[in-house]
Formats: sequence, structure tokens, C-alpha cells
Amino acid sequence: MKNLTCPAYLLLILSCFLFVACQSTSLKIGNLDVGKLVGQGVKVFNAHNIDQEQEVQFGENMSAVLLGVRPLYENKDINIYVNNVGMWLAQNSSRPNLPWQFGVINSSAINAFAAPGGFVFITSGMLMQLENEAQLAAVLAHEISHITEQHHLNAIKEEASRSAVTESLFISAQAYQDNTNGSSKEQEYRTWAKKVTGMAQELYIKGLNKEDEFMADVFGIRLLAKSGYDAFAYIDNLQVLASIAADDSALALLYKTHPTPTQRLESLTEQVDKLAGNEGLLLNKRFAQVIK
Amino acid sequence: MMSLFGCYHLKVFIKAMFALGLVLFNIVVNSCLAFEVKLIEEVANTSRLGQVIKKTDLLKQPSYQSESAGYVAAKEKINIQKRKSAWYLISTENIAQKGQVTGWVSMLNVRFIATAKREGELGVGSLFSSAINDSLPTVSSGVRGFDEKDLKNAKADLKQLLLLNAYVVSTGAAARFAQQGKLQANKIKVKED
Repeated sequence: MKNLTCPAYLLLILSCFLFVACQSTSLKIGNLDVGKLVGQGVKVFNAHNIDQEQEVQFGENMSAVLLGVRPLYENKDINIYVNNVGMWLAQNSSRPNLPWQFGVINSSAINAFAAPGGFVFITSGMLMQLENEAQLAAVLAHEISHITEQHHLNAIKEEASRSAVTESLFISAQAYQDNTNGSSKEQEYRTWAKKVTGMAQELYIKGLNKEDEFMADVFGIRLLAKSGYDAFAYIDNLQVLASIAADDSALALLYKTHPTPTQRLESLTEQVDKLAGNEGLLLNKRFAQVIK
Repeated sequence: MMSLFGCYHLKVFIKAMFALGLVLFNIVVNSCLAFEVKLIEEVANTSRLGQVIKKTDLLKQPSYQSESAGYVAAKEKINIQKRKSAWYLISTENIAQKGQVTGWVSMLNVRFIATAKREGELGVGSLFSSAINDSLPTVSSGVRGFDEKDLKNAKADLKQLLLLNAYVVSTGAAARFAQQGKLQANKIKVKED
């Protein structure tokens, strides 16, 4: 305490005052009763100051939205296989200690998604296009890179900067579940949860900026090589995507939210040259045995 | 009475033939699948038709230091035979007609000729057959889209999060999985290092 400077003291006093005020005066921001939430022990946090636990909680919320579009593919062996490949890659990434979770979404669309905190999804439609484990690893490595570089979280922070303070508040998935399943009077929670859902929907519809996608390609192909896979399976994937008719509805969202495969191939030229000496594995047989 | 007896034997005979047919069918299918596993172990996006996006050097070895074997003109159609590192061993109709050897081109200069995407269900053998010959499997999966409209109408599904969590594997299990596949972490220079 002795080392605290004057501004730090002021900040501490202000924080205490705000916390007490929220609890005692039922502070409202818009339709949201912040005081009530804090009083009930619900975690409320700000987009500009998110720690790892909160990052995971936000990822849960976003994942619940993705799984609300289409559920997981009902095949335990396939989901566990994808988790094994993903976890191996994640252990070679810059954030091995996140609670990584991987899932196959039951959709004929060709796409893959990431959510903050270690959530990665691949559609069964995308999985169908692949020929070996290295190609699966390439898809997952791209999404893992979005998470390690916090691309979605940064996009949310930018959005929060442009919005009112209510938009920068989030609630954990557990609190959302507890309260949406509760009595009808908890309307505030529902309003709030709707906002969080809306933000996730907007982000997945709009997509990340192109620079983030190109960066995830560079980090992805390197992660693939670093994990012992044939790094050029990454290029195989993009070439397969490029060969599917661009107006195919299965690719609609992928094309809306990503640069074209041709643009991505061009941007990887330098990396391919740098990794020319790489000799990793494809693992065709293991892939075929599970995804048959 | 005799006709009833005859009917009974006929039924038994038909059943026996049906069972025998099933056994033979299974043997044939399993043999085919085993053969296919052996085949696809060796390939990586091979036996595809493609074209080069620009005039491309054709090399005798998969290396920029290799001796030249000529060139492939822009948009020229090629047959991709196999890949080594970032190089495709290819042949073209023109080369074949002249009786020349095939050569290696940089994979970045190649685009596959447009093909129909694969459809079907995972885990029922459909991918298996399509991975071999690029034919579309007969199983129809129906459209289970994931587009802008679907996202706008989505409601968070928290029960699915629990199922997702049930599939999580430990870091130890992933390490064993990697070991079984003979995967080894390489020390390449990447930004996160």
C-alpha cells in the first residue's frame, strides 16, 4: 500500500465506490441492472480488460451460438480424433495451456471457426473435402492461430470502443444458463444475453479483417511444420477449395469472411519458399480409418 | 402335403442362398476397402487434372537448383502425378506427344481443374470411396447449411457445450496419439518462438 501513487489511490477508491454503489443503489445502464448482477455474484467484465478466464467464458458464449446454428456431428470417434489432432497442434502453439476444445459441426457447409479461449470447430462438409490428417491439421492450425493471436478478442475490443458502455459488458455462459432457465422475471439477463449472442452473430457474419486471415495462414503453415506434419498440405487444402465452384452455396460464408483461396495462395509464396526443406507426415491411412 | 414340404425346402434354400450371398458380398467389400487403404497411403492430391497459372519452368528435379526440362505455357493443362515437398511431378499432353519426360513444377503455380465437391456422410465409407476416385458418393446428406441467415436466427445452445467438453482429450493422450503416428515436433523458426 505504501508504494501506491496518488492516482492509484484514487483509482482504488473509485473502484470501491463503484462496486458499493452498484450493489446498494441498483445502478442501471440502459435496461441492464448492473447492481443486481454484481449483488448476485455474476461476473461482469469489460472488453478492454479481459483476463484468460474471461476470454474462455466469452469463447463459450460464442461457441454456444455456433452450436446453436448446427449441432455437433454425432460420432464420438470422429470428434475425439479431431480433438487429438487439435490438441497436439495446440501443444506446439504459443498458448498450450488454454483449455483447448475441438468439435465437428454437422453442416454440409465448408467452413471452420474459432472462438476466444481455445474453441475450434470444423464442419463435416469441410472434413469431407480432406484426404489426410495433415490437411485436417492445416484447417485446425489456421483456427488455432486466430486464437493464439487473439484476433476475435481484438475485433470485439474494437467494436466495444465504438459502442456504448453496455456493449462492453459480458456474462459467463454458466450465468446465462442459470438465469435463462430461471424465472420469467429475469428479463434483464435475457436482454443482456441477447446482446452477447448478437455480437457473436455479427462477428461471424462479418468475419475478421483480411490481414488477420493472412496472418493466421502464415502462423498456421508454420505450426503445421512445427508439429511434424507435411506443411504443404496447407497449400493442398487451398488448392482444393479454389477448385470448387466459387458460387457453390456451401462456400458462401467462407468466401464472405475470408480472402479467396487464390489470394491466400499468393500471400503464402514467401512462406512456402522458406519451408521448402520441410518433410513432414501426411498420415493418409490413420485419417481414412477414422473418417471412413 | 408334398407341395407344402417342397415349399418349406424352397424357403430354406432361398434363405441359405441369401445368407451365402451376404457373406460373399461382405468378403468382396472388405477386400476392396483393404485394397483402397493400401492405395491411399501412398498418395497426396495426386492423379488430378490441373493447369498452371503462368508460364512455369519445368525442372528435372524438385528443386530450384535443378536442370531445366523446358517450360509449361500459361493455362496449359497438366496431369499431376505426385507431390514432393512444394513440387508437383506433372506431365502434359504436349509433352507426352513429343515423348519427352515429365518434370517438376512449383505447386504454387498450379490450380486444380474445377471439380464437384464431395458430399455424403462421414463415418460411413463415403469419403473413403471418393478419396480414391473423386466420384461423388451415393449417400445423400441433405442440405445442412451454415450461412448468414442461419447465424442470424441462431439461439445459443448450451447443452451442446457440455457435449463438446465430453470430447476433450488430455495433453498426455494427444502426445501418445502423436507418437503413434510418428509425429515429431520440429524446431522451426516461427514468430511465437
